[in-house]
Amino acid sequence: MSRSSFTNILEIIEGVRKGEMEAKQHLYLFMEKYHFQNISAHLLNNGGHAQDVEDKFQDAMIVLLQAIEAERFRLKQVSLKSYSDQLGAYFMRTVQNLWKKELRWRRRPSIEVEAFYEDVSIDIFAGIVEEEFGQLHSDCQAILNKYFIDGLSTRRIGKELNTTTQNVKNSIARCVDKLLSKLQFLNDTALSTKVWDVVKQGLDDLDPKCQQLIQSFYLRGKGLKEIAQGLGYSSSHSATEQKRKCIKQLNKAVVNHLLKT
Amino acid sequence: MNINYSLLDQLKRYFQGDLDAAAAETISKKLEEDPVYQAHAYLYKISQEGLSGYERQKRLKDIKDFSSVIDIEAIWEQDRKLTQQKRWILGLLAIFIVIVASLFVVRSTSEKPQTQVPIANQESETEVLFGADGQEQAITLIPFRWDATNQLIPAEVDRRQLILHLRQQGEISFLRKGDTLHLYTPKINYDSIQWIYTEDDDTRVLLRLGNQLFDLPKQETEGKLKASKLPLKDLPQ
Repeated sequence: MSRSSFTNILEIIEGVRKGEMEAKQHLYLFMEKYHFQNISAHLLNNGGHAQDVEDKFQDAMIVLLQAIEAERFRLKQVSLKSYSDQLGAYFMRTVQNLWKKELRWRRRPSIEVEAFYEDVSIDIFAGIVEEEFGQLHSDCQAILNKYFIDGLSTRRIGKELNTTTQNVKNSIARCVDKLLSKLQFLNDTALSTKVWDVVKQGLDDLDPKCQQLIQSFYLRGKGLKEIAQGLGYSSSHSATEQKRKCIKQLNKAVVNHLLKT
Repeated sequence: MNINYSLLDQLKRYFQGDLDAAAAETISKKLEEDPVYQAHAYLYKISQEGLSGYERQKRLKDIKDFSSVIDIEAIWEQDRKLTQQKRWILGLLAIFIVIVASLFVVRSTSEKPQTQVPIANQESETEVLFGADGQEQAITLIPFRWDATNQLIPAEVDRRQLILHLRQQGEISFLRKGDTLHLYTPKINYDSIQWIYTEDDDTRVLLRLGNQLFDLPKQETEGKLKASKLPLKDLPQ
């Protein structure tokens, strides 16, 4: 095993703060090795699935990296807690907050569509948003990140950007408009029903392995590790990547169908 | 289609748990029956998921692709050892603080005054505390002059040093060397201690101890303190 260029957690945190990729890799590996289990146990005991653990771990990792870079998170040197425990406590709080939001979404009064198609369509359209987001101007990216990911209010964003709340609201409206430009049809309920039909058709257009993967994951609720074993992928990471590719295929098929209608 | 941004904002706050119970209840009911609310909730979720997906891709893709094997266990082990050392140091520090605090308490208890003497014309409000035989206490006194109109006024001379020596046995005795007065006294609960010059005579000094008045001649060897012939009743209060 090669010797690490970092000898302690303080050095890693300082490296992350400076934006060093190697430090981020160390931190990711450290959190995965020593704190993933706690996160996993918490989520699985609170109604989460294996994929939720993976997603929330990664989302919390992003929050942690941002917090270190912005110096919102600092290690206390005079403490009975180890640095690892301090990181773990912050990480757990982040995951708990993210999970609370997710549960509020899941426990909302249900929209009248089949849960399966709703899950698939959210992934499809979120994929479209993901691509559109990359095309946005950096100002739009920054403001939408603060609004949707950090969950800040328009007033707070205004304070941070030194502008009025109304200006922030206008900017968000303009940026969301661009972000959702390809999904405008979703607000039409009659069309929404069609969307679910189109998702079904899009699934039929996929190759059998992708169909199997998507149905196993969404319909049968299987974990990616199990899917990887069943479909012959080398690891759950490969299965995750494959699922991404399949959702992209589905995404294209659905958009093509919708453009025809 | 028009997106209602105010509604989108309300729904975002609803899913984040930022709304009060009444507002959340209203949104919850609307979500059950109003397709516009449902569609906006859907748009919120898609936007939020889309952005999360983008951030995961952008920020974590390179991080997760390790080019070399990283020995993370050594770092964990180092953290564990460092924490143990810190706990030892903090523990010892805590014990040290407890010991110091205990000693302070014990000392305060042993020095608990048998009596406390509030002293008039002393420079500060310090109380004279006595403990065992032989203990000393230095006090600076502001000398007074007993003027012709029977008033006590501060004398325009330097302050005098009084050193009180606790002596449980025998009578009050004194020793006066220059501006310093040594007083050997078994009784210490005087209401006041005053150094007084009579009228314009800077050589004749009186010492008031509580309700008694003593002559205080210059005397470089220890001698008995003698009561003054001046009537105490004439001393201004």
